[in-house]
Amino acid sequence: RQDARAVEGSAARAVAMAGGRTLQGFLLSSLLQGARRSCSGRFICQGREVGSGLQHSLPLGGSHAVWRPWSSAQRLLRHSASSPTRRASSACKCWRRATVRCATSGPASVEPVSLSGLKRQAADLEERLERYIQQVDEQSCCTELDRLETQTTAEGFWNDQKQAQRTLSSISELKATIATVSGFREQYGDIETVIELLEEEVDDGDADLSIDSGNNNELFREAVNSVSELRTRVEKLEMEQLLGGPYDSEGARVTISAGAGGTDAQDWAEMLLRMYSRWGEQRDFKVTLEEESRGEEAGIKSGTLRIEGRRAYGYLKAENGTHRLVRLSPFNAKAARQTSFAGVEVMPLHELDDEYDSMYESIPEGDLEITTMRSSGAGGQNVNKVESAVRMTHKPTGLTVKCMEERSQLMNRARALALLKTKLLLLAQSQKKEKIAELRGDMVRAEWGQQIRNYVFHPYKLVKDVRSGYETSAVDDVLNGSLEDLIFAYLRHLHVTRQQQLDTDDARVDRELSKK
Amino acid sequence: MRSCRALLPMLQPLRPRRLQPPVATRVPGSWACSSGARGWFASCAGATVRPAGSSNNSWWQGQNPQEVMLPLCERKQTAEEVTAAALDTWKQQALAKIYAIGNRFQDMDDGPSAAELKQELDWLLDDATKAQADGTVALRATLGELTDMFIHRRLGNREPFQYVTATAHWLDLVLCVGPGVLCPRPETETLLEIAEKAILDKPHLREGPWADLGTGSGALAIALARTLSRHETSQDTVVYAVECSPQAAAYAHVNIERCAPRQVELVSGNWCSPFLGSDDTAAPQERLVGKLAGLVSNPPYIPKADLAELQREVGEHEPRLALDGGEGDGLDHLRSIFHGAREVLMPGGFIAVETNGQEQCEELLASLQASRDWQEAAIHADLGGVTRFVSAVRSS
Repeated sequence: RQDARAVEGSAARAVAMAGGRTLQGFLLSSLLQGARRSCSGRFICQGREVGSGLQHSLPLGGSHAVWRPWSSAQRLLRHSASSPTRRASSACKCWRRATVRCATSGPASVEPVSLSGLKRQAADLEERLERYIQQVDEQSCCTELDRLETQTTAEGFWNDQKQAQRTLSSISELKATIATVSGFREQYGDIETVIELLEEEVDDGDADLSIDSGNNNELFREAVNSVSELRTRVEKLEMEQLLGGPYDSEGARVTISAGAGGTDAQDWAEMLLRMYSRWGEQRDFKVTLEEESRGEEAGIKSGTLRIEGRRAYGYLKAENGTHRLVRLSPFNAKAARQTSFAGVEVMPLHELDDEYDSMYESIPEGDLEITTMRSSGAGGQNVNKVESAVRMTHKPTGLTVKCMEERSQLMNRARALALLKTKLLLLAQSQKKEKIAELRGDMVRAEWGQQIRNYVFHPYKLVKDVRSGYETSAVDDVLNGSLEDLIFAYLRHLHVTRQQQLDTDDARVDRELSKK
Repeated sequence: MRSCRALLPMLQPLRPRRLQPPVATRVPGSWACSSGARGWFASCAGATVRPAGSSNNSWWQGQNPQEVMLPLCERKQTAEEVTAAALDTWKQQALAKIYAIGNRFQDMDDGPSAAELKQELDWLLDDATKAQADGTVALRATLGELTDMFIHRRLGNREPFQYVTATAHWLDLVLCVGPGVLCPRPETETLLEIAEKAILDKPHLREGPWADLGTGSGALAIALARTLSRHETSQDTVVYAVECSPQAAAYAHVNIERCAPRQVELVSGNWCSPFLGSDDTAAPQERLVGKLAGLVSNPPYIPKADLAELQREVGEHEPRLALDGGEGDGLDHLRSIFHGAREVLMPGGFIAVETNGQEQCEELLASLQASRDWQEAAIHADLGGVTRFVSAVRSS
């Protein structure tokens, strides 16, 4: 019933959006009215059962299917593509299957109204806490912290400034993690104590915490509040754990370029620039405008923001792609409804250079395998040959170089090493290029059909992330920098997709193994 | 001239000296050796000849006047100039000879293959000729001399290429070699690496003198001296290059003068005898018993039975004295070195030697491990993967 309410809420919103007067709204409302009549709680449309929209336990970020009418533009595209003979029958196929995700995080987000509900939530919270603590691996954190702290007391620690800074930041990070974990444990302990107290009260008959009457009890309300607070904190930290990619903890460089749509697009690009700088400032990141090229009439053709701070790249990588704006254009005399695109490209700040350019500056001896090219024999004093060629293999990459031009073995080795370093540097450069291309993702083509997010101002206000399905109607808030929900929804979606991918991979591997 | 060192009493009594230095000994003053690409004429321009009699350490000069030829790459330009075409013709003739030989040398006794001979020809021409801007070629040896060198001596007689050009490239040094001295081998470069690593790991090895027993051309001694001076050791540290053959010592002297004049002392003797004073003629004024920090050696180690099957370059032309390890397993000289080293090395002193490989190596290691005088006995392989070097530390 709760989920039905949620769905109806969104449907009601849709009706409100449509104003109830357009064809879309009418069709939608009639659809839902028809659906409500069904007693099994499932949406029935056109005689076909449509997904189980009323699942009782909606998983985190779970989805269900809804039938929505095609928009006029989409219908036009579909019908123009089909042949005339199909046109008649396709009139019925005016519905398309769409997924709506619950914007909330599931049944647990609803406030518990009874002690049993509270206990269930507490149990769920404890499970998540345990999972988080396990993932964080407190034990290894402590040992690592001890190790790093002994390192700081070693002499010569401050000789290498960069390394020292890195060690210090690791230490502070580990300390913060350990403090957080112990804080959680304390808080959860408190909650458990409160629940026990409440149970005693119920047993003693002092309080009646059955359904719908628990709200008057102060202690109960306090417990509920602390549970929800702890849960949000854990969620946030779980989210940060999702940011475990190689560059996620770095700062970011955001490049926004106006796409198709002329002055509108340039203005849109400037709006996005403002949005990201506000977001960065709200989160206390250091935001710098690196470069900007203004458009002729208004807005910017392209601009680059440099956002320095922890995990800036991890969050902002959700913004990589094309953003589409639909609004009444202020630059158009007729105030027509215009669509404009802008492309956003997010790259980690500068680690790539450091990582790849200095990767092979000094090659450890163990990585190299050096041999002569002579056939094995007695050698030494038994043989007098002027040739002293050397073959050098770099074991990690498998690159081999030979040198036979020099006249002594040492000179051949030196020459081979120089040659190997050049080859390795070229390899590192190409790897860097590949990495950059990978991070950039598929080319950001700022045009129709490739967008990751739609921002609609007219005729209804909606921001919808196409990848995760998250949508909100608070467009102005979003453009003022409150991107948290959108980002988290995308990161969650990414996590879920990855998990699914891993599961399918595991399943495939199991199948292969079982075949054998 | 430099004043004689305190080592003088160790040497043999001075022989009547020749008034003139041996023919063609041009010692161009002391400078650090480079790889020979130092400028065409620069090395010879300021050549000074050491006046006879000024050197007291000339026990090798008296006996048999050696013609210590300068390396080909450092000789003066000849008067003869040829056109590039003429040189090319000469080269084609030489190549034809090489093709006629083919891989015969290699099949016979594992000598040089045709490819290696072609490489040698290229290097010979690199050393001996230089193309000028106007199409002529400057020569350091006349075409006739080149023919004699390569066609007759190298291909016909199978003299080692190093003797023919009087050059041995070893590490980044250019050394003088010739008949009477062993050409330094590439495997010995690894021996130096082992010694360098020990010097790096154990600082006390930099505090005392080192010695190269059986120095031959002086290669190991010079390289050791360079390593030690790089580590900023005390000024008294010096490398003693011990050599018993006067012919080889002549070359060693020339090379030391060219490459590391103040750091290497050339000493006559048999293995450790100069330091023990057991030689009848040596006055043991400065006995270094128990004071040497390290010893390296590349002694003769080929078993007598194998000497007949060596390639002609080695068997016929290189000095037997430098190759013959004695009857049986060839460990004669190695044994006497370790016998002497027991006395001469300081406690904790380092020794590293080159052996014939595999079995010799293991046998030596076994005897070292069995003895209480040595610790940290270890085997090292050369770049070809053959276990060749044995190192040990004198126990305290």
